[in-house]
Amino acid sequence: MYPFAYTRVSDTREALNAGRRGGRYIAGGTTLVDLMRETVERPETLVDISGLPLREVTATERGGLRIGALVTMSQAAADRKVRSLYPVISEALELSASAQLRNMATIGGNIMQRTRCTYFRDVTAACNKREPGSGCAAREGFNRMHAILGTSDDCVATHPSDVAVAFAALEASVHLLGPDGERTLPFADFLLRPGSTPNREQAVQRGELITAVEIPALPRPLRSGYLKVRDRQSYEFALTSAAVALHVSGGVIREAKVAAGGVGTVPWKLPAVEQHLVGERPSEALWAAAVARAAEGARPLRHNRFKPELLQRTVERQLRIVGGTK
Amino acid sequence: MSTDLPESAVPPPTDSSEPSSAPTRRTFIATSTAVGGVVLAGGVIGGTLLGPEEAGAAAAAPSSRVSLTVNGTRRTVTVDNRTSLLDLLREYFGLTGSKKGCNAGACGACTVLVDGHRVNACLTLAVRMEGVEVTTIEGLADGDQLHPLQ
Repeated sequence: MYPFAYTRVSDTREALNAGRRGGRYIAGGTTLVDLMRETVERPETLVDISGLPLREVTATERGGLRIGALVTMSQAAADRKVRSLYPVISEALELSASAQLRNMATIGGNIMQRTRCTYFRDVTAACNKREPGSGCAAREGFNRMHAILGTSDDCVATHPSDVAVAFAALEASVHLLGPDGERTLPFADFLLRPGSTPNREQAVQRGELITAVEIPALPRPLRSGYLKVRDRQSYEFALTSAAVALHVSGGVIREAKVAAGGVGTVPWKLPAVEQHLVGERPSEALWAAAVARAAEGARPLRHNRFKPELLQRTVERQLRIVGGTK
Repeated sequence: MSTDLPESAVPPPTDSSEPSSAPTRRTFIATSTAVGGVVLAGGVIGGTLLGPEEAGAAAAAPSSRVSLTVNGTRRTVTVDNRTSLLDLLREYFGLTGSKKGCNAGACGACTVLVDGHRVNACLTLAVRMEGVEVTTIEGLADGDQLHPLQ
């Protein structure tokens, strides 16, 4: 680990001043400290924002939820409002990491986390995300865990977060505070596909601070849930995952929100699946037909040719779990 | 109930003054990593050998003063900012009950309670622990009555 200066801030103004001078914000630190130890990350100054008042989960006037950036994963997962309104969020959180990490890691940090691609973490390997222009060792390397959707010639790394898949499905937005004031980004615009600049993973400007993630109101009743398929039942990243939310009224699906994890360079929203579901009555045949195009555009790599089919099956199974079979 | 220790730092555990006795695994590890995390550390941080660049930089590594309560005792120390809570506990305070397994947040061998919540001490920077209460495996006993985990 390289030496760094450390400063603790007590209000957002102080934080933004430190951020503008190039300081790196640290919240839970579970990704950042780990990557600093591997010398993948080499910040000169850490700005400790854990004292900022961003630890509340609040209901919005519009009927949604606002989750403060410093709410921990365990706090969000246990929150009554989250559990009753959006089970897909609490389920995604509880299937992530370990209890210790969930006690440390925050919602803001979760969506800022870097990829878990092993070549990104290995400073001796070629990685365009870590060192632009150095190449991609994963393309021809061991790429079983890597992405099949949203990839580019320069990068095939998956986004590792589970809760971000739920956020993508629910069409959340990210509240940011910067030197020029506040702005709000749709979640789909917050996380960036690699393209030719895989080193840029989030649409945050220098010194900008995430203040909250907002979940929009959705028609009720809403049933939702998260399914994670992985090599072992605990403490493992997803091979595939599915976040599903359905509003069924009068026996007909009126709203469908579906996204997949473990397959994309960003959480992968599935509009084709959603469109297939809306206006239809839940049935086994519907679930099967809806996922026919779930893996459209997939570009599997040598070791993950199983992913397109596994993705379809994962989404189908979660549609059945959430939507029932009547 | 916390008792205050007046000294600003407790010297790291070191058995290097022991004369000729053959080193055990524990004394070997203790003596070879004892300087980890201390401000004066030159080439070793938390028991990890540094590369030449890192070691060069270590001479002037920024440090900070932090006060925390460990198993009911108030401690104030000055640490290299890079020091993990785990290294502070093990190599500065001699509390070796928390183990260094993966040192990457995966194995959980370093688990301690911070303000009552279990966390990975290896991924926790000691400098961030101002004012918190840390409980290690050593601190779980109720008097002479050992905790089941012990």
